[in-house]
Amino acid sequence: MIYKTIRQLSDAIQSGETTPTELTQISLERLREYGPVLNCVVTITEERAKKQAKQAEKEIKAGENRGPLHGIPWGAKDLLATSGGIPTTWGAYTLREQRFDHDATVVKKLEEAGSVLVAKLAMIELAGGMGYKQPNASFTGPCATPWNLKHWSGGSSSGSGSAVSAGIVPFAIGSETWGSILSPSNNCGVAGLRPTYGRVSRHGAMALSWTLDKLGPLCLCADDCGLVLEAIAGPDPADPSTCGEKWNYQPEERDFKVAVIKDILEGKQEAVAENFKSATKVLEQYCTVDEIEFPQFPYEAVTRAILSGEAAAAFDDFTEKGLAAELTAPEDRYGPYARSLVLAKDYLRALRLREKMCKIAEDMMEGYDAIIAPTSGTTAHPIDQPFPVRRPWAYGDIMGAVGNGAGLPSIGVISGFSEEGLPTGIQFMGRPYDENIILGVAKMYQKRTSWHLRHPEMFQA
Amino acid sequence: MTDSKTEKEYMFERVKTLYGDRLDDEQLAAIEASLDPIMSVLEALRSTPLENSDEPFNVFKPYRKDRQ
Repeated sequence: MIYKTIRQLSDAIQSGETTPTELTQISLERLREYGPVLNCVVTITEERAKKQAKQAEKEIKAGENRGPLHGIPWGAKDLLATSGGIPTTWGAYTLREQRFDHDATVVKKLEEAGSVLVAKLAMIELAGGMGYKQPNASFTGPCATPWNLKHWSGGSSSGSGSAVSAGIVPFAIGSETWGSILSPSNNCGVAGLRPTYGRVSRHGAMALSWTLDKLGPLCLCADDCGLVLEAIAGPDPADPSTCGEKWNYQPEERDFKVAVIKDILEGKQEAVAENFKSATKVLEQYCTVDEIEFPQFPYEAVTRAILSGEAAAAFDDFTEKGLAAELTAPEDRYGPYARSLVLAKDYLRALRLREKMCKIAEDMMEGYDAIIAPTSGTTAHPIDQPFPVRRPWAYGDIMGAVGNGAGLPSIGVISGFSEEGLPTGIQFMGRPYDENIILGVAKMYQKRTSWHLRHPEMFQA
Repeated sequence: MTDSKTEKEYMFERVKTLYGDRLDDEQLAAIEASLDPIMSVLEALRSTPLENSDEPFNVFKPYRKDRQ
């Protein structure tokens, strides 16, 4: 029952081949065995898990079917509020005893879908909002990719990517403000879906940047991401930014038209570029692939200024109380001070430029189903090394800047491996609310490739 | 203020005034260095033209409990 997709597990439950209790027991055992090896777990929610599994089992035996997630174990990035005395640490030592009296909307929705919460998973402290510059930026230690324990899982949804890749949980929820779902998707070789901004309620999730934060699933394959998104998407009165419509997973299956940004492979690691070219050849079996060129515009400055301004405000009390001094990464202890001085007029200027950026993105994507690009420019970074020094604010990540700044959905899936055996990824970024299109493109890609069927040897029981 | 160097110095002075008592010399030096990328972001934003009619891309919605 390890490394089975959600559909396979659901079928196995419905046919009586396994039970929610058995699946939960497997996850709990693997959390205990492999959690400390990978540093991917903060809290095992055993009591709640056993109760939910028992309930699911009872319902299924009585003929009640809540859908494909019924009885399936999952893990939550530890920024989602959970009731019942379970800590929600936001990855920070300072907040290791923080508890909430309510569940985040996503946690509630997954409970309504009958799934079983088995763990709160590791994350970069405060979702990277303090400007970390190394993998060791969480009080639970640097999280490893199951493909090589000397390399980083990516972040900030570190444990969510690592635990899925290690077959500890069939799926996990992560969050992305800029790169935090796609980075672990890339480094751990799993599918990661960043939904359209507002598709999923943020209520009960730690706020890093109110107008950039998105919650989404990390799973073994694109199809599973669609199943999970259907369960967590939809309007929520507690989050006014949610879009008003319920979303149903109906992946499109047809010929598609995709675009590649000119020079997108410039500066990318060789294995990343080569695997992307191979993936493009696969896509050409069912896609028209064109090259496009974005006009000059300060995309990265706009999204970074919004992120900096909102993060400074979101953590103002935390910063003013001097709580950053107890964070794990030394640079996170002073990171928030300088950017808290950015002027209101500059933040608002970024918001005014944001509309132009959104319109450019919409114009560029007109006539295309998706823009494709490597999920990340490199494979997983060494776990004990600081990140390379990069040119000020110019991260060369136009996909991340435009995608997050304009609130566009994107899904990352595995595209192959480097010579060292580390995964590389390809992402499919769509127009707002076009999750069924990008899921369709990604699903058809995975029908034609088998990278997602490979799993790290050490974790194959 | 037109000279970004002057603004950078002003920002650093303000960090020292507000938070200097909780930061050591090494951290202050790192903060001073971190002002360069912040200034680059600000320069990129400020050099991109906007019309008076270009509004912030946040739509304020008056709140009423029974209307979402």
